[in-house]
Amino acid sequence: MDLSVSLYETIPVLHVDGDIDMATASELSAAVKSHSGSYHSPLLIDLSACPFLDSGGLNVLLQAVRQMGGRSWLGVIGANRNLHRVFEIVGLTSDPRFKLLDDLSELRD
Amino acid sequence: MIDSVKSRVTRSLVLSPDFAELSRARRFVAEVAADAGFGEARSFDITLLASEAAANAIEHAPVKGGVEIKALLYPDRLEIQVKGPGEFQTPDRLNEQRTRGLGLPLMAKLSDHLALYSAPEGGTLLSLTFYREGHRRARAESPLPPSLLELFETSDRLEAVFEAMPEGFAIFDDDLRCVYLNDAMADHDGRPRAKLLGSLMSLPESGEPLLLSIFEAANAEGAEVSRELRHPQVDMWSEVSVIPFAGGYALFSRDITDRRKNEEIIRQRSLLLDLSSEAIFAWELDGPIRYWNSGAERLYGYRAEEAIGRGSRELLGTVFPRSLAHLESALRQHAVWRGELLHTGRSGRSITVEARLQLIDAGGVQLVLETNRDITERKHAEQAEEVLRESEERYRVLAEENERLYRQQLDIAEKLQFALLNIPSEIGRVRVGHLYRSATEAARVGGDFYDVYEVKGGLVCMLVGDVAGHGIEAARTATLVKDVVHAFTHQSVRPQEVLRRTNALLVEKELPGFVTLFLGVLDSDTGELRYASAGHPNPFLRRANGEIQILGSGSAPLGIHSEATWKPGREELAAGDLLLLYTDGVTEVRRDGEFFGEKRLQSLLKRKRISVERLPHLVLDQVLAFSGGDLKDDVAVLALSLIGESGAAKPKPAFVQERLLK
Repeated sequence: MDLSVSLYETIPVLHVDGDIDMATASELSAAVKSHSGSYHSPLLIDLSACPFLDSGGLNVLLQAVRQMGGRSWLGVIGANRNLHRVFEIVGLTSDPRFKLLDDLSELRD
Repeated sequence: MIDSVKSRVTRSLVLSPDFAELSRARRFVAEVAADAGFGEARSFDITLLASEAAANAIEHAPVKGGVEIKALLYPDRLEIQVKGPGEFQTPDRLNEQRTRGLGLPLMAKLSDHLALYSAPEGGTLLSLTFYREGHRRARAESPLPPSLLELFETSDRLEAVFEAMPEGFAIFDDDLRCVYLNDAMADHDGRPRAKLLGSLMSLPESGEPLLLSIFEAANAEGAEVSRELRHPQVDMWSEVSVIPFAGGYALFSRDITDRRKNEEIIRQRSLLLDLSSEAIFAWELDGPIRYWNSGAERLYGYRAEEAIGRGSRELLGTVFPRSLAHLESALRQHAVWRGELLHTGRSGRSITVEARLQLIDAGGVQLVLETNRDITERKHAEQAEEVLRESEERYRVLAEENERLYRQQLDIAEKLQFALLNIPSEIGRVRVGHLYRSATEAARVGGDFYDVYEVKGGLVCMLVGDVAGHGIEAARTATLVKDVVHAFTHQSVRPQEVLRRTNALLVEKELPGFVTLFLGVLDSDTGELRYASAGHPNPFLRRANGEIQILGSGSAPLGIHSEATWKPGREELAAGDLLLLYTDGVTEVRRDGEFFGEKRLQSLLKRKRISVERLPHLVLDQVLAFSGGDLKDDVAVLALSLIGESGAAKPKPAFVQERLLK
């Protein structure tokens, strides 16, 4: 798995290229921690090049969402349908601080 | 059923216990699922769960164990079996319920059947079944319950996992009412399962308040708390872990009766063993120390509670005569091993023991009972004799050379002196200045000697001595004493002890004359200086604030009385403090019958700024000025000072840094 970071306006975007599993989840977790901004600022994770994500990865997302305070939120971009399903199963999608986006253009609204 | 088994197709893959192997496992399972005709979404589920199961097996695999994934394809279903060499760590998973570890709930949710088996040969097998399209049993779709309690109510598959566990497992709600327990848990309690279910948390007799305290502690911590408990009804011990979660508590109970009973046996025997003056302790083969008697406390300086639970080799730095492997194989073969071992005690002292190791079977645990007798003294005598023999041999050759080449005596003497006085200018946090000047008459080399060197543990040894007499003979004895003291300080860092041993050796060897000696051992980390003096002029300690102290502990010189002992002295040194050591050639230099004396030396130390490198030369200048350039005796001066933290550059004051930034 490769990780890279870009900025969408002032929001950090983590781009994941490859599988997230127990071997790589800690790397993602570290990146999420270091890019989680202030109380009100959101974080974006681009999963459009991530075909697989296991419970290790789900936990990173759950942790990140739990730690979002104020008006901040976690946005996941371009996740495949299988990942959508898993997000639903673990209850991520019912959390208002978690947003599923098809692509960045949705943010303009 | 038989037909179904007959038409089974099996494929398998073995992984090493490394998470990096997971992607290989997924490729394998994805291929199997695709070949079996599962759709894209279902293939993802199968791959996900197989990956979860493999991750769990890898996480709990011993370092060497492999993890096997087996795909069994039946006409109606695909079964994925993941076999790991470790125990399936359900407690961890549960504990992770709040932070991580969604693996098990995902498996329960996404597979059609989930089962867990303990393999008879050890290890755990997790089985996941996925029915093929059309064969799939109808199953109510429900979102994952938010709490473990609800999960239990809705998922009988998860319950099956807990039923198969060898550990006792129970779930309590917030009111400590038992809502679930497995058979093993009922066995631990000793009462029927049906009676316990739905009842308030309770344990008979004395166990109850203790169990309640575990729940309270877990509640206060908000995390897992473990304690050891005794269950009187069934005469067993268990390690109870309570894990709080939203809406209740999970409780695991692990049977530790065998271990506790062994400890009890050992405890009873220990009363007898404590009477022995020998050091006796017991350790598990490949495991920690389990017993430590008072003899071992005395010999090694570790109390029983410090030693128990640690590895004996790590604790004592055991040096084996051949190798540990050799000793172990001898133990396994003969159950007993005898020989000498070298240990290091708490103080850093090397201890040679005559050891007797016996392998005993304490209820399935292989214990090594080690009985050690301290023979360090005997060893020291042997080693010192060896040093002496070598030293004597060296100087016998030198003396012969000397006789033969009498005219070259001065050269030889100079070489000897060089060997005596080769000292570094800095050792750790200690800076050293030194000077040696022989008497102007007769031979150019005398019996004064000094040394500064480091022994293990960052201790800096300093010594100054004086052998009665002059010339090659005195220099020979001086070097010999220095060598012997050197050898002894590597064995003991207690100065009075080193003096005692050196003295015993000198008396025994009937060396001519006597020797005065000051020996100090400075811990440059803490600044603690321990010292002892054998009839040597008292050194001065000049504090950083200018205050001067005399390190006095007057006593007999070495080499006179074999039973003589010396008192230890102790001082705390701080950075900037300075020590001045010297021989009587300094204080006893005369002018018209008057001694140079200690007072003149002290007044030198009253100067504001003293460099440790310059001080010995300053002393010599004063002495020569006093005597008019004439030295009747050798002069040796050694100055040491303790510098600041590791000599590192001091941080600049804040305002300087600010300016630098600008």
